[in-house]
Amino acid sequence: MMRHSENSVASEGVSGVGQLPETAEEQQPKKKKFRWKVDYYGILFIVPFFVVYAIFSLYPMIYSIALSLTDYEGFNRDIGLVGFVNFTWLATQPRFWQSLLNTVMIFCMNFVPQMLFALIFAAMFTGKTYKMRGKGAFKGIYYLPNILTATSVAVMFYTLFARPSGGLWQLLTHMGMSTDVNLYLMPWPSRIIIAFIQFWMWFGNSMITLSAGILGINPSVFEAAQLDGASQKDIFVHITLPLIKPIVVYSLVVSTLGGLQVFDIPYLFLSGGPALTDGRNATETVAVYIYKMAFTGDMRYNIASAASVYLFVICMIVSFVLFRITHSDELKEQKRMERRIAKRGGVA
Amino acid sequence: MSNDTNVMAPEALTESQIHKLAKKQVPLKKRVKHTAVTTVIYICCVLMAIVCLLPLWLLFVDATRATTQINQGMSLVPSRYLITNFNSLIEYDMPLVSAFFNSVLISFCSTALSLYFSTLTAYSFVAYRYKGQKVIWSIILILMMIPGQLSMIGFYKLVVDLGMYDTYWPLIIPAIAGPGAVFFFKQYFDANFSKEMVEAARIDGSSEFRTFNLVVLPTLAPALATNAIFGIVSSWNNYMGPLMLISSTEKYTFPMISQLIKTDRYSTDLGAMALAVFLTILPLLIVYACFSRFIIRGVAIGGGKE
Repeated sequence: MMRHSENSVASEGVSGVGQLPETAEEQQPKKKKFRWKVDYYGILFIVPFFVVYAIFSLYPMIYSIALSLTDYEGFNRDIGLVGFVNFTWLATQPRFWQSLLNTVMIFCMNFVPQMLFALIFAAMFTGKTYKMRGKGAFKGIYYLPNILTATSVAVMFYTLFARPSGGLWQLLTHMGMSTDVNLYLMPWPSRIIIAFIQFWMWFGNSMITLSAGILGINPSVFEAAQLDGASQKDIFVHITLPLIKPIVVYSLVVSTLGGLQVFDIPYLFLSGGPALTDGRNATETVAVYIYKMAFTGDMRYNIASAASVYLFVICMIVSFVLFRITHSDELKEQKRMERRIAKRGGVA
Repeated sequence: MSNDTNVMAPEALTESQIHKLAKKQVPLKKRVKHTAVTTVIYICCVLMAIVCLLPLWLLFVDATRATTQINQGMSLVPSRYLITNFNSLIEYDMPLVSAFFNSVLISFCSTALSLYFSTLTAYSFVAYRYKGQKVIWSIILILMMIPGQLSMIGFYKLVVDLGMYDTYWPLIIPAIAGPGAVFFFKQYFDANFSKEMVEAARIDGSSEFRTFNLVVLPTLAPALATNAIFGIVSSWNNYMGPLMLISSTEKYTFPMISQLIKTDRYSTDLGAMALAVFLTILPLLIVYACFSRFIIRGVAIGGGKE
């Protein structure tokens, strides 16, 4: 019965979305003589997209939201609406908050150094004074980790940091770490390794995106600055950085959304955390928490759905806020540039 | 040393700068500084390259060593147990080959569907004008922001209800509705679409579908190629979908092999384990070796963010 109501909601949602123009078109023939306009092919062409989206994305979303309001657990056939009980229950769960905190911590430990390094390297690669050879090869090497399967990468680093056989573990002991240390039993080192894997995988991507942004800046801006006697440092701080800020913020939005949903690496690396009591779930991200809730143990679909609704709301708020910031920044930036150009008399 | 910079400088600088340099007769101090900074930059780049490649190299070396060797200590030189490790992998019945072909099947089918229907959808926004078009476009933009996790549980339930559990359909068909790919192609159309060509085809009596398939699609070749690589790679690397939806071992996809590797059965034989992990990475290394220039250009124009 519940299913039926969802179905109708889903189909309504779709017709509201995709077929708005079509209803207008159906009314026309009654008044005027109906003529099939060639532009109606445009509507025909987007139908597959929206039909498939409605079935495989929109309906599951509504289904998830509906499940989060029920008591559907395990093999329970007798499902009833329970309202927001799951949400309030989740809000009192330290493990859920811990997973959220873990996600944020792992993301920050990965993103901040990643952007810093990416900026430094992008500056080096695009610098005019210190032109270097072999840029293509370096870029190729830096991007390589990004294309590899995340699960293989997780298992690879797992073997490399394992005590006592892992190569990187041995490297760390050569650099002064005690040989008694088992990194996988300690919360912070585990988190740092996961953040490092993320950094390792995404550094090249950020660096290439930022370099592309810098190369996309109109060269005459740099030339004008150079003619005015600006130093390389000044040019980077006062021209390059402000002009690529939109790209940095865009990367921030995309990476944040990706970072909030990170699953593969934490799941396969330690499947959520060191197995010790005090460090348990130290690397469990929200996505891992949702997966574990739904598909292991008691199969608590309702709790997992409620957690995914929370995650969705958080993602929406984050992207809304970040886009708000970029937008106002862009307007300010534009005005500032206009003023600069007006002062200089129309360069660029 | 300073002579060196003198020779290097004209090649590396733009013409206007060369003139400036010649005028100023660069003092020695500056030239030394230039060489020093260049050296530092190279050292940084090489260090970062080592960070990127060392884990892969260590893995490859481990794959060629026996378990006892691996336990004794790290090495940067490959040993000669590659064949032995490979044989023990075959003994363990690791479903590498079937998983490889399963992944090929899924990633190629889903990418083909995604390319065709994304271009079709994007095309409808540039070639035609109808009421509500702008609203629909902004809806697609909003869909791009929705995290996939929200639909995860519902998707699983839907697939079970439809009787598609443990089949590849739910991994292939949803590729038709990829807002990211539509956005990518719309941007490409915005820069490259010529309405005259479509109108000429229309006057010649070609039907709209025919025009799209035979006239418009071929002009998209570069964008299609870029998007195809990223589509195949991201479908290939997808782990959560198959993990939820595939249960029988013979239907496992390639990334799911990694999960088998970590189980006890394999984890005592470290050499074979390293080899198995390396083999799961190998196809992508080969693809990357062939298309790296192409892929990096794709990332630079924003095709890599999916």
